[in-house]
Amino acid sequence: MERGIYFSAMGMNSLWGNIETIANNLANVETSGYKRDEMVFEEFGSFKINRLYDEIIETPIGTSDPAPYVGELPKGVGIADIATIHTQGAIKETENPLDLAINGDGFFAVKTPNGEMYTRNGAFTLDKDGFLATLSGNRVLSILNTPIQIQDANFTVTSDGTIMVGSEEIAKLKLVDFENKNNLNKIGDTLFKTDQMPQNAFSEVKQGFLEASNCEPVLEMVRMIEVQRLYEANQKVALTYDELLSRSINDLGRLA
Amino acid sequence: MERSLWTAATGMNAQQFHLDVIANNLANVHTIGYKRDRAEFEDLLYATLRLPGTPVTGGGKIPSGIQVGHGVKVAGTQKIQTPGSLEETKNPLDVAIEGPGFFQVLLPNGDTGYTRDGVFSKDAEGRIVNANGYILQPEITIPEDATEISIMEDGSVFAIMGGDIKTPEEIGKIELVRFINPAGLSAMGKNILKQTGASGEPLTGTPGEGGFGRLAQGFIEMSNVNVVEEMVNMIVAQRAYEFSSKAIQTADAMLGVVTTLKR
Repeated sequence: MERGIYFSAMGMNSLWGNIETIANNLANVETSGYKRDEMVFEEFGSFKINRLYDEIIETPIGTSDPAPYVGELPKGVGIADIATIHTQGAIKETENPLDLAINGDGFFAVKTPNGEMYTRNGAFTLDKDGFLATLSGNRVLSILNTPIQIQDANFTVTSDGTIMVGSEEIAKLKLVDFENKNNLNKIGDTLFKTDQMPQNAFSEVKQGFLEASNCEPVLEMVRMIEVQRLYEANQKVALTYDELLSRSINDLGRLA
Repeated sequence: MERSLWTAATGMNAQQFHLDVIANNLANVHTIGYKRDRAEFEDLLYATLRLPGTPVTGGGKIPSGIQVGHGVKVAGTQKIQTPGSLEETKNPLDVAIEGPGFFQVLLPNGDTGYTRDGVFSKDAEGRIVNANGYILQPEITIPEDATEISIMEDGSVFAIMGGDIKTPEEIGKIELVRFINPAGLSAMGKNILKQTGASGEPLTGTPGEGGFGRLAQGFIEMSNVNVVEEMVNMIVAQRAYEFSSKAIQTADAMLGVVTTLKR
């Protein structure tokens, strides 16, 4: 069968994957600490095309094909990667003392039933025992890997992540960063998981602020138009092949 | 196949909810003691098409994975407990709390409700009740012949009797409660909050001591809703709603392309 019709189908499948990523970015345009995803396409390799039907010369050490090399034919397109873009989101003021934002690289470490995970969503709350926790109820870890208990609502967080009540230091937030952020796995609930060893991060912590999503709606809208048009272009390729095949079946094969 | 349609639908749902919260805040812009709500969002589960770190032939590891998200969910609504501005009413039974703390009132079903709405009055038996007739706890009864009531910063309530000798007499003490996590209280309507598993146990105390706010007689605490901020949030919610609806339109158009593939 004609290869091209499959290539256009591969193109359409990959582009559909892209619209899923865009829809997810747009749905999370208001999610604090959300990092946008970007799809990367790849060519599925290619194979060399030689002219067909040339004579093959057999020699004692094997065969040799003297047919001239025509060029390369790609094998279509696939999804190489969905990369998470870890750029800084805008920092917006909320006046809520339990809102923390990281200005610069780094993540808050939280304890979940499935092990330690990392987040940049600093919309924290206190649970019923007074521990600092995410809105999903996962407790935030201190630099000593312990949950942080805050008994007094009048606390301050200094820019290095130290939590103070009055002039007394209660705990210091665990801020970590990773050498290879591509290896961070999104879990949902704005959490990331990885098996990499975390390193200490020394970014500024801002109390009473939240980091907004780094999704850029304008970019996503433009990309959405592009994807839709490319999808249509791929469909046109498939339709053209259909037309060609129809010709060869109905016209070429017609008996006078 | 239709994942992007559903993903975008979660986005529209979330923004619809966001607008519900904003509308309620704006409707309560003049509600005494009202604390504004804030909706917070989190991303939904991801479908992992390829796990990062999977070994490949040749000994290497895949450096990054392929994960597609399923949209967004409401992580929670938080009551932002910033103080509202105080407004003078000169009504002796209007009491505002300057700082953390809640008044306790007895609900008709016997439970205790918590409120920062300090607009009190007397019922037929002279007890101090709130605007809905719920009795302030601990109960304070104002004597029939009292001509003047004064409420101190620390919650002591004095009555001045109508006799010739005007000696103030202490008739009770207003106590406040606070919670480790006031954001975990659930709103019952009528400016009443109730204790939940997330709020922790109520801690009772004297106004002005141990982290409790002082009382201010003749004042009421206004709502802490900031109209400008809510308006900006409303614009953001509307636009975010439109973005997701555009994603649905695009996915729909692409599906339309598929249906015309076969002639």
